[in-house]
Amino acid sequence: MSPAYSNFMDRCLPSLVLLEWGHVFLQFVFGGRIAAYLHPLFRPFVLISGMLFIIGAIVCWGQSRCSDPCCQDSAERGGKTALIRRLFAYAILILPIAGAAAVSPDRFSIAFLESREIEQSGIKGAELAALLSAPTRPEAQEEEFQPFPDNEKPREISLLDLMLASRDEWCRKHFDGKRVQLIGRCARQDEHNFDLLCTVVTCCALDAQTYSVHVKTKKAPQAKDQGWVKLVGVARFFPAGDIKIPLITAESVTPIPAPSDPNFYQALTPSNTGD
Amino acid sequence: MSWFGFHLQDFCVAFLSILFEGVPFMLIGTLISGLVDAFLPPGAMSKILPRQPILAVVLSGLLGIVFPMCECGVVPVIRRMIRKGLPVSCALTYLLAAPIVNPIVAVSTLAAFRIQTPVSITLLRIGLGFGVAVFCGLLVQALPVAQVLNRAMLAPKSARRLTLVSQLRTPPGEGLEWNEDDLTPKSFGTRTVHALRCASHDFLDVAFYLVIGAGFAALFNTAVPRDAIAPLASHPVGATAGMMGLAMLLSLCSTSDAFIAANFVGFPIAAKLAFMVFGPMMDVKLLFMYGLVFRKRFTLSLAVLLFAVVGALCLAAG
Repeated sequence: MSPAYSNFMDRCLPSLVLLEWGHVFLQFVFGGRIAAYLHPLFRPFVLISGMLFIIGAIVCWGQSRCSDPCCQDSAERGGKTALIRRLFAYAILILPIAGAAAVSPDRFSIAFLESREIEQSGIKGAELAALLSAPTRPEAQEEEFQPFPDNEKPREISLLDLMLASRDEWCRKHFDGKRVQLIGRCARQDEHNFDLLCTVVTCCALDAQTYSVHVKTKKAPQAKDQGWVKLVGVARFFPAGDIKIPLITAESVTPIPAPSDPNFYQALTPSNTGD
Repeated sequence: MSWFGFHLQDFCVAFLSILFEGVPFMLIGTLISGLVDAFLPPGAMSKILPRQPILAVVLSGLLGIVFPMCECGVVPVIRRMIRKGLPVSCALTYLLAAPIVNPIVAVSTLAAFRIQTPVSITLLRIGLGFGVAVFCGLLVQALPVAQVLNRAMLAPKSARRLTLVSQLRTPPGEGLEWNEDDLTPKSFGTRTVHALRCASHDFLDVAFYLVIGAGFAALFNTAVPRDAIAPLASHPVGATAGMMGLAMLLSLCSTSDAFIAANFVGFPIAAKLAFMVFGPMMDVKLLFMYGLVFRKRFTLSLAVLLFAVVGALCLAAG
């Protein structure tokens, strides 16, 4: 084996791989792109990994040829096949991550997110539509849109609070019939109805799910499809199977700019639920 | 509804998500594996574990409580521990049990099922995960090592060195207790450098399989709609098999899979349990990563065995 080949295989390529990985990891952290991929809890690990990759690349580049047996498990056995196999391995380590980092738009397509919508009950289709379009109370529908007294400040909540409340009675009593304020994406709108959506992430974007709440309005919101809105209204819950589905009658719907972190994060521990 | 629809940008987001989530834990695993190689004396594993083989396997199934590892990080660690003399049966038991029998997963399962009998589901998940891992470990005890480990794992260090120099074929190993005294450095400084070199080498080895596995997992995750298994929900056996198939394709981390399982409204509890027990033990990504330690034939047989055993147990428990 020639020294040039040895130098290329044992120093240049491993250093290049580690440098590339370190560059991608740190670029995503410092550029803020990581917010689209990972729960905040896990983001520091990406930063530390990126720094370790850069240190590793420098160490790899600086070291003389590694004579440790641990470094030679799958090393050169001579011949063209082994060389091609090793080059292929390094190509797999370098090209996909570089390509994905360059191409990725940092968000899933609308079609993908819609296919990940959380099913809230066994009730679907026309039955669900009929349930949601019925008046929220036995009284006349017009009465639903009577504004609350100005001195009752709306409670700032998230869509995740409603998701939890739909399955838990103790949480539900905090929101049922109360004036609430929340943000989300506006979708599937017609003159008097739309859905307020959010993307729920537990660990990383791979487990992203879409949660939606049905909203009834007096007049159509001035928001584009999938645009972000701030909503003030009254939350109520309807029985649907084993759970209760939330429904909001809107007082006001205001378009807002998209937040810097568009995901909602599920609590990984049970301690901070129900508040 | 089309059952397969590739979208490059969704694929890239999913692929990078898997890497950003999995690589830091894999890096921790490779650092531990380097430290194990440099600082754990040969034969130490056999001193730590009980002499009684069945007891040793059972204890290995519980090690995750003390050393919690996710499925990505555990592969390089057990690879190095086998080389340090850890019996293969114990290594396999730890490999399968650690991503489930650990406190972090217990807490996240409790949180995910907080309104659906959380304690019983969490206990069932951990109990089944432990039971299946021990069962597989005991089965492997009866197999010759050469049928389980791949050739690179079977080659002792000294023989590997010879193989590189003189192209000798490695003799099939009966056991893996080698004399490494001539190969392991002595001083703390040289041991640390040795650990870092081993860690970086292990990382490159495992990352290759992780990248391929993550590619397949991202492809299936974004191209195959989850609704495809919805018609199976009303049939307990079909639902359980469908959810295990989905777990295999989605390749989710064991800390987050419970949140996905909990949201499969309409699916029986047996199917959700199967999703949470089978997924951390075997998925597309792991199928490639296990190839670093085990023979291909053994890995595929293990996948089939796990599918059957986990499915049957979850149906019985559910």
